[in-house]
Amino acid sequence: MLGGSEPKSFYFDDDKVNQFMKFINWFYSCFNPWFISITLGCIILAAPVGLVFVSVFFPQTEIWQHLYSTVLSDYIVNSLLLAFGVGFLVIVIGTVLAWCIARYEFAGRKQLQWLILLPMAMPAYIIAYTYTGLLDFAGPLQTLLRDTFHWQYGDYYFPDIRSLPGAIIMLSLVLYPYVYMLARTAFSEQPSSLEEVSRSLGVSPSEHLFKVVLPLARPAILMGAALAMMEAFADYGTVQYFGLSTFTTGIFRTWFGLGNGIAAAQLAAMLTSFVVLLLILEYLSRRKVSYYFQGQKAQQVNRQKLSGRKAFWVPFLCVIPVLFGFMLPVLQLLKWASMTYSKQLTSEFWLLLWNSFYLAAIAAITAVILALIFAYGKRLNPIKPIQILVGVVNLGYAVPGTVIAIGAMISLSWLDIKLNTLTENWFDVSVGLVFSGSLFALILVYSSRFLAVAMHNIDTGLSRVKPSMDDAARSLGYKPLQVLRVIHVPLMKTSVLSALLLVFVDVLKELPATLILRPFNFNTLAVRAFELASDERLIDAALPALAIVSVGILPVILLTLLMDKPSQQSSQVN
Amino acid sequence: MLSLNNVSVAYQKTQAVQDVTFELGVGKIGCLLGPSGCGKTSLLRAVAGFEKIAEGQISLRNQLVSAEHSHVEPEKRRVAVVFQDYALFPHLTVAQNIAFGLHEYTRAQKFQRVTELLMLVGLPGYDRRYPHALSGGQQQRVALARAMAAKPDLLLLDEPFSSLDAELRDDLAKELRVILKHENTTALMVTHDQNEAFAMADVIGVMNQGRLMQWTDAYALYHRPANRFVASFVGDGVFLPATIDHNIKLNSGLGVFPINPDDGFKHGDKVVFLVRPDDVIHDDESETLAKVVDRSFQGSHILYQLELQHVGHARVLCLALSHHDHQLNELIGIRLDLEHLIVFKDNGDDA
Repeated sequence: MLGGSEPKSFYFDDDKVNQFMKFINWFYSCFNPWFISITLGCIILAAPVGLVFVSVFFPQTEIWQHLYSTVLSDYIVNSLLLAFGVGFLVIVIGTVLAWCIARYEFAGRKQLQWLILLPMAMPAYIIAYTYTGLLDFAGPLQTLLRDTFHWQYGDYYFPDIRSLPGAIIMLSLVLYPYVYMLARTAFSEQPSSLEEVSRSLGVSPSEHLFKVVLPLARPAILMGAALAMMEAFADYGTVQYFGLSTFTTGIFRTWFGLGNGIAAAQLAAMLTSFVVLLLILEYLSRRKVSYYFQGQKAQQVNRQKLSGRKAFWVPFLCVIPVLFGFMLPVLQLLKWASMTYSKQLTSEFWLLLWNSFYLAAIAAITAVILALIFAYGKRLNPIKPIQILVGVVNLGYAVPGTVIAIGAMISLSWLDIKLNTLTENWFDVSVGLVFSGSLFALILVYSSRFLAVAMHNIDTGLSRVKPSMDDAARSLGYKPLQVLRVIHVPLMKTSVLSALLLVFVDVLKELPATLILRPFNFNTLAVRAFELASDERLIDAALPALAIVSVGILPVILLTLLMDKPSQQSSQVN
Repeated sequence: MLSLNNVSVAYQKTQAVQDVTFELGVGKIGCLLGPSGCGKTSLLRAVAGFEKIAEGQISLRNQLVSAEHSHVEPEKRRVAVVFQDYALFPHLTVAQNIAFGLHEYTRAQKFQRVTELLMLVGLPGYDRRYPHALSGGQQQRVALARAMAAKPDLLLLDEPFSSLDAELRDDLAKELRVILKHENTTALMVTHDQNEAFAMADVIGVMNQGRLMQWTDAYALYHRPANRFVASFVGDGVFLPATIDHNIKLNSGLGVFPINPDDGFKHGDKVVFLVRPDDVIHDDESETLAKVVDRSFQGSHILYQLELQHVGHARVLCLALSHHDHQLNELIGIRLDLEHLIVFKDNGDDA
């Protein structure tokens, strides 16, 4: 490639002629349909987030002075405390669980292996309001305490779940599976010969734990923690419900309370830069993981069979997170739902269900089609610009939904205004909010945020179709489209289906972007559950919440099936 | 240095090693040779202390380390192991890997010993590299350096060359022997490849089905195998049937050969004797003819597979100089030149 410099005189100079021809070839290669469609797709997907950063160049001095003197420090401190608190807690829970499951053999280990993943089905805002109901003054626990000890109001201290520590615990209870999954793989892929080397060199098993096992698993653990912390930064439902001032609630307040979209976007840009730091941490960890486990066959470590006291408390310890992260809240939701379902199962609920499902389905199909285009484009044109573009849009998973939504809202309403001026001038009609007021905005945001989930699955599937297979089929007399049908479709089927399922469920659970961008009078399960809970109608919120949780279990089942295959790389999964 | 006395190793109900006895002197390189599944690796792991033994005793430096009811933990044995997959610690540099077992060394001593070892294994200047940046052969040298760093009493090597290219193997085997001899290390290795065993070891033990068949040097193993398994496992060769005649000599269709009277064979015994490729001499003058059924050109020599025209059409191998170029189905003259006659009772067993 020519580094931008124009060759001045290339006559009779073979080297320069070559360089020039290379440049021409490269230039033409940029104008193939793949490159154009990928570039276009990437620009559209990245535009909202890009715009958020552009907003920095339009200073809003007055409002920032106001923010600075009042709430800004709260936003920063609370968001950081929340993220680091969650990071710390998920590392503790996830690592301990992963260690027990990977290294010990005990009764119920097989069942626990997938039970431990169940909290992933539980959106944080749902667990948060369930616990609020469980633990508040009129809730079952405090009532039980009062009845048992004959206490009155004010006789005893009871911690308030609607606080920052409460939010940290709620988020950690549903986010620890990130660390658990990655750490489990790291622990079980360490060859047993490493421990034997240590012992033959006079290093005791406990020293080996701190000198080898944990340092080797550290990148995987940090990677999981980084992913969980990104989710903590992105969380809106929990912190809003608990009344905490963080970046996400601040963005909402600045826009809808103070009415300043640009300042909201600037806050969003600030939040995103925190997330970028986590992305770097995740990237570095991921690279280390691939070095550490390079060329090592996945192998079964001999698990230590537990006996005596340990055989009792290890399974007990492993049950705690899933008990509090899934079983208890689900039981509470079931109880509430059983009280209300007869009057709630009306046409309104079915409409809610239909809205959520078809929105999620459209978004899943869009994201998977985009992922297919990007993945095949990358494969057929392995040139740097395409790889970089696809790599950039693949980062969408790290950007909080609120941020993408703000960017989409600003850019699409600008587009709508321009469009309406145009149509009014030319045809004397206004077409209304074609982009920002329709499902288009939501689909754009979902595609941007969940593309990585789809890409990850499609890439895995496509890596199974070796380029030599295409060549082999062609040389055996198949036309390109036939190759697609007899080779690619059968091999890619499961990856495409799992990509569809994962995006579908993620969209169903998504809250803040849906809250901002949904068309007027358009409700989904997540939005409705959150609204009802915010109106203190906890019991009524149970049915839509249960619907989300039960669909959320599907990817957990899928994941369990994948994890049982030892060769399958444990992946970044939402 | 190392002595094993009637050692048996059992996993659950399967007997991996049975009744093995041998001794290995200071500075000697021993080798356990055998087909896969013969129990050689189990025995190695028992010596290292990774497996407990079911019966017998293992002693190091005249101290009992393994017995039926006593077991010294591996980290207390001063026995270092080079693993088949090297098992380098991927998060540590080459220098940190080598210094991993140097517990009582000061920083300066560690540095000195690491530098010394890197010189010894031919990797000076590699101290700051990480294992993933090394080739297979280099990783093996680092694994060796790490094992030898703390001057262990005994070095165990588990199939040390199995993950390397064939070309690299011979060179490294020779180099490894030089290194071990230089440090006067007592070593015990395990392999299924007799060429490695011959290149490396002072003493070789052939194992089959959990039992040690013979424990001796390479020459004796080849020329005085203890039983039919050792005879057929070590080197090429075929067994031909024969009978013992009234002079207590071996009588085969290929001639009459004297046998050692101490072997205890009687007149009329049915026996088999071992014919190695170098025992069969191609001789155009000879009246004993054999048909060429297969040939493989090996440069200076041609290895013929010949079908004898009597003795039940048995097939023998013959290594002839390569200018004796004969085609398939040609009949050529041979004679036997048996310097060490290896005779076993014929028990109808083909092994």
